[in-house]
Amino acid sequence: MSTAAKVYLDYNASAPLCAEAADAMQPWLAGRVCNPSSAHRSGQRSRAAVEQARGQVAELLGCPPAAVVFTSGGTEADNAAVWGGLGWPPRGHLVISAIEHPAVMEPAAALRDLGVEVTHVPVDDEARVDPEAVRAALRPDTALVSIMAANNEVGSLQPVEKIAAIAHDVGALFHTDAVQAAAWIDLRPLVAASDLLSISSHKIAGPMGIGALYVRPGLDLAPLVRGGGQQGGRRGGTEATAAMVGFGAACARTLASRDQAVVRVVALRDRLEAMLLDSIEGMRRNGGEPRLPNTCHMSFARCDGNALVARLDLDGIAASAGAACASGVAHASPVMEALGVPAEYLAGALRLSLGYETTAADVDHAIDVVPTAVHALRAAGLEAVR
Amino acid sequence: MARVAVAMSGGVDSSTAAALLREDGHEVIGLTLQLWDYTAENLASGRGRCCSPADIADARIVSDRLDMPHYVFDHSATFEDHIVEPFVQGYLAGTTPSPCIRCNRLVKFDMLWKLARALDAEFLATGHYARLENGAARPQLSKGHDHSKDQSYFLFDVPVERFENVIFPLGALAKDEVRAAARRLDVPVADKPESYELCFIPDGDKDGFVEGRLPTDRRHGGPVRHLDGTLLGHHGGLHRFTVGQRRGLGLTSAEPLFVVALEPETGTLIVGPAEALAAEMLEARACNWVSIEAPTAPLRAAARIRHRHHEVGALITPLGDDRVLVEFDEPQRAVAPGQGVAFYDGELLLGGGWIEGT
Repeated sequence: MSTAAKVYLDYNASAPLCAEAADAMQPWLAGRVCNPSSAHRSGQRSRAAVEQARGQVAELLGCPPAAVVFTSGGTEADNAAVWGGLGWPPRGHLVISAIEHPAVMEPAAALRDLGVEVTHVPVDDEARVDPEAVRAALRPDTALVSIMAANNEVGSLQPVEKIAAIAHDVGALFHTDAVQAAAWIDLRPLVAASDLLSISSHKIAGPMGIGALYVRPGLDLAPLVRGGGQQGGRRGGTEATAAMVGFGAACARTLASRDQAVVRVVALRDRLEAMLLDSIEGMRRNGGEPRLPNTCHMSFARCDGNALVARLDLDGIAASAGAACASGVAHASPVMEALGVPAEYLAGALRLSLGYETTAADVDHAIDVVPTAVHALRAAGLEAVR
Repeated sequence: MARVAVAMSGGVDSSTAAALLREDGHEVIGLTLQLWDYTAENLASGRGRCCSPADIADARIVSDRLDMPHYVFDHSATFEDHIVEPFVQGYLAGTTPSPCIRCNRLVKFDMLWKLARALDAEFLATGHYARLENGAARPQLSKGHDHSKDQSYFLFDVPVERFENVIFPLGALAKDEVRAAARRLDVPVADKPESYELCFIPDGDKDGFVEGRLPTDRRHGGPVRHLDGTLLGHHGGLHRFTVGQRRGLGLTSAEPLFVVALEPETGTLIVGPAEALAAEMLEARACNWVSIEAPTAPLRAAARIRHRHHEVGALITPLGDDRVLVEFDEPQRAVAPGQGVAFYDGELLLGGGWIEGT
């Protein structure tokens, strides 16, 4: 019973390491793996591997390799963009949306404490930012606009290219958190429109603990992590050869498989969603089109989402109640509140997110199990207690 | 073999309860309620208890070692509303609150059972030291075999029908047997020290905790008077005192003086000699009957008026409206309103109620 759930529908939390990345990392996990900055032959081998990986990331992004700064993950990339975008010492005005990931929200809150003014642009009830609302928020001293490419909870895609152009009209920098988008969306047009763009390895089936920030060539960004001058002084710290190599392989695999996966997965997701809507009363789908092809985010009235996730796990389905958070204890999501989800639906969020490996049988199992689970949760009388 | 949900606190007792059920071949699911927000406070002091981040991490490690699923649910808002706030209000009203009894009734044996049902579990198990027999017409709840660890007192207010689906795997064991079982079953927390403080006040500073939540106009103290009316001094706040207390009065007198009563209306602390503490009877309200039907006629029983109190023979007379009069065979010292009184017949927990007055 206690083996991991048979059906994995939590790819937005993390896409399990793909064989391509695991194989590529293998030579760098044992034996004499040396500092890529070392001058000797062993160091040279590490350096070559790191730079080849940087090239693979650059290919996914459609940018020169020198524009790729490796970070410890999406959160660090977002922090580097937001802190760096306001300069050092930080000054000016920052514009973000109401549904940014905490990796943007929290540095913005810290900057506000330091005197930076922050404007949160609201979203409509489909979790979308109106470019004109961004335009209205801009000021002559706006230094940075940061709007995510795809929301991690509901999957809504944002009009990033339009917003970037609007930001550039007043001379502000534009950053987009593309962590959740990378597995499903061609990033090259976004990179072309942006000054800064964040991605994370483990969301595209690479290893955890590694990510990257695209920095437009010519942009002199104040570094977040200072140290031994690695990566051209833009991010201190010895390069993590194995993780970078795995990340590079995952980028190559994403580029090779994404188009086919999108077509296949969107059909599975739409069938899953339609069947659930058909069989469960008091269910709403959150987030409108366009959105990520793999994400199915719903709320059930009078149902406790956390208990639902536990029950589904026992029923063989790994899912999330909204977003996976650090403590493993979910709270009512600020994104749900920003969307204006009615109160009786707030506690009952469920996110099923599909991946490249998801099969029709996986989806059939969810169609079988989720309605029963929702009914059982409602019968248990948990909904009154928060 | 059944599907059993086990309440996991991260301590040795609940961890061993889970391990024993696993050993018996049950399908065991760990449940942890996060009842208190430790993010701001107590992190510096390291380990709190019961649901601090370190303890929840222990529960996760134990569950993984035992190869069982484990889920954490945040019910800190419920705990705040139903337990912590009434605890503070109870002190303000001049009583001595008993939050663990309330928590068992309103949170643990309510919310955990609902969660267990939601997960299709047939039973809920906890690491309480109490013995439970099901099969007769009514569940029979007895003291834990190890009287020094017995926790039956804290269970008197749980609705009896709940016990039909409860298992106490440790009821027949002594604490050292539990630790031995934990070692034998390779439970990682086998040697974890015990904690005795309230889970939401891990540093034990109850006075400071209550004061932190008082409106400023309620923080000042009031007069200390002798039973005979003499003004003896000033106290720092009624919440710092409980009936029978001697320490902290700051009085110098020929005879030893004890807190005899608290008067919230005037903020007065009444003190008197030891003999004034002796009560021959008490009245209890909101009685709950566990192992027997609610009595309709006077009943002989042993009464326990606080945790670790040595029970005393008493005549329990129903007064209607779930109230009883408890007449002790010998006068009892320090009967504190707000505490629970539990009734026993030998090992058997009959029921109990809330002490209102003497």
